[in-house]
Amino acid sequence: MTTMMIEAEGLCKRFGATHALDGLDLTASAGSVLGVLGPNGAGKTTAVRILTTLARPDSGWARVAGCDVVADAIEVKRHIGVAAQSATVDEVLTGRQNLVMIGRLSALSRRRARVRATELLDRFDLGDAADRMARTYSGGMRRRLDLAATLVMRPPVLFLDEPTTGLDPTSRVRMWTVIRGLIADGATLLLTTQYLDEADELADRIIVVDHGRAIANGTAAELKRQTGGARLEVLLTAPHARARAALAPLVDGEITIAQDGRHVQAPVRAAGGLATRVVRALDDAGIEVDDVEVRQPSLDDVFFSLTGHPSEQAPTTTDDPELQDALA
Amino acid sequence: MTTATFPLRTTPSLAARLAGRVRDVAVLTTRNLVHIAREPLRLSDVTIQPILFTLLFVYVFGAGVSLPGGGSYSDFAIAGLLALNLTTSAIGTAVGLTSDLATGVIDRFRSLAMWPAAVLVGRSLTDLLTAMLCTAIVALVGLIVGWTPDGTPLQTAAGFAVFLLFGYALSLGMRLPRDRRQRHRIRPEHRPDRPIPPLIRLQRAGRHPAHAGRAAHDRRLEPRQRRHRRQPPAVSQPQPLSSDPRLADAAPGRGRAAVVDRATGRLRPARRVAVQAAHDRVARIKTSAT
Repeated sequence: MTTMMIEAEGLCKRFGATHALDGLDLTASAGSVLGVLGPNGAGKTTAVRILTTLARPDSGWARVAGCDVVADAIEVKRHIGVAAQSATVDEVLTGRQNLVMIGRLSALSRRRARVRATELLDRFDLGDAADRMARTYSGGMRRRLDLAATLVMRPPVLFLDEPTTGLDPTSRVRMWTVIRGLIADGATLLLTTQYLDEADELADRIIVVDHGRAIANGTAAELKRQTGGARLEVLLTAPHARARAALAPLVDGEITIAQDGRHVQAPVRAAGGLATRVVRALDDAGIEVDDVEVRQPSLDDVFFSLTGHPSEQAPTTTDDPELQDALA
Repeated sequence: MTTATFPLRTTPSLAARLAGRVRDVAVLTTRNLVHIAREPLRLSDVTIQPILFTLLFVYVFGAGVSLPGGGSYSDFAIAGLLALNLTTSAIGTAVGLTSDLATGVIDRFRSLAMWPAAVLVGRSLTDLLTAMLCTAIVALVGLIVGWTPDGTPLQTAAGFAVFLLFGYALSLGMRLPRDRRQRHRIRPEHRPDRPIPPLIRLQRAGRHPAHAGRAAHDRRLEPRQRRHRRQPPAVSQPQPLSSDPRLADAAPGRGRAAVVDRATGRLRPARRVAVQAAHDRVARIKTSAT
């Protein structure tokens, strides 16, 4: 049978009149990657804080690595690594000092803590900056140092709270490579994110959270099927009568052409070489094209199809109008 | 199919646990000392300030002081300066823990299987060390400006120990309530139990187009309703007369009242409190006239 490394049932947590979590259930089996997807304020961070014993649930229970997060918090802490949303490194210490300190506080001997720190610094490309104050690090380096700090004790369960939020695209891809390395090492991973592509890229299973509860649960492919496929968007140089006929064999539904006759949209099934074929078909018909884009469903699309409201308006669940305003 | 491979639980012996705690405290104290070494200016309140204060109080203020019963001014001044400097440095050290909370380092510590109290104990040990430095500097400057301890060395040391205890208690006491308050501000999920004060709420309502309707509704509120909902008055909202303290009954105790609302600066203040709302007063005058 499969061991559940992370289990939670009916987690509730409120702050004043706000229900940050409203009966959240989730499970992750050993060695799997669970993506928790949701907009700001959906309760992702609160869930992570409860699972990592930093906050107590008002009701419900959770077990991590078989230990209850409330009754057996110390034992849970021995099995987890946490990378919080804001990189929680000591900015005045150097990268190396940070890692050695974490190792010492986790009961490593001085020598082993030093060896482990060097290992991790090399692994995360921080070797050159190891003896600089963490304050001088870039955002991406700081996140990598933070991740290194969570790995000092090689924990079997890892929690990464929005590991790429606020990073530039290059650092983001680099972070993904690092995370894929962790997955390859066999760690169980819980990863929260606002980005569908990130969850798609990294997670085995995705759970979509809104208003503090899970509203969808499945693999990335399953979620996308629910959301609908990609959309083709073509901008013609000039309106053209035969555009519709030229595109018809390539698309997967109704073609809509905007008032100006130049913006053409249609649902498509994403496939290799689709854009090439679209351009070729239009070119064969003698139609000039300014722009072609095959757009994958975004988090907004997922949200729209799952909840019927776009993600920006998501966060509040309170009845108190004063608080609603204050939170908005 | 994987099977459960959780590491075995270990229940360490008492000695091992104590050793672990001592190690945690030592690691965190070292960390705080590294902070001080990297940012020596943080120590200015226990290094530069005592020197400045001692010189200031002994030479500038002390120059004009003559003690009635005789005796040395600096003997009194040094003890007072020690208390003063330890008090101000206690405020300064509280900043350290607060900034730890703000950067989230505390959350990192809390997610480790360490002794949780080590953070506080380590911090207070650091405070004690800085307080000792402060005491040493004050005593040294005191010796230079002519203070001589009266008692035996042991008695003097005991006196300093009392001051250190005072500084330690002060920094510990100052820190604990502060942490609770600060925690609410640093993380979005630590939302305060009370909603954000109305003033801020109104400003937001003004800025965000989605709140235009609500803001307009707020502007139509009567002053009394505003006060009831703890909202500040709208701009140039007329206030009820009774709340103007300058509007005085110029002749209390006479049969008829005279309400004065101009040139109040030239009037002597009335013994009794100002009149009630004007229309009330007028109504009463009318009834007494009939």
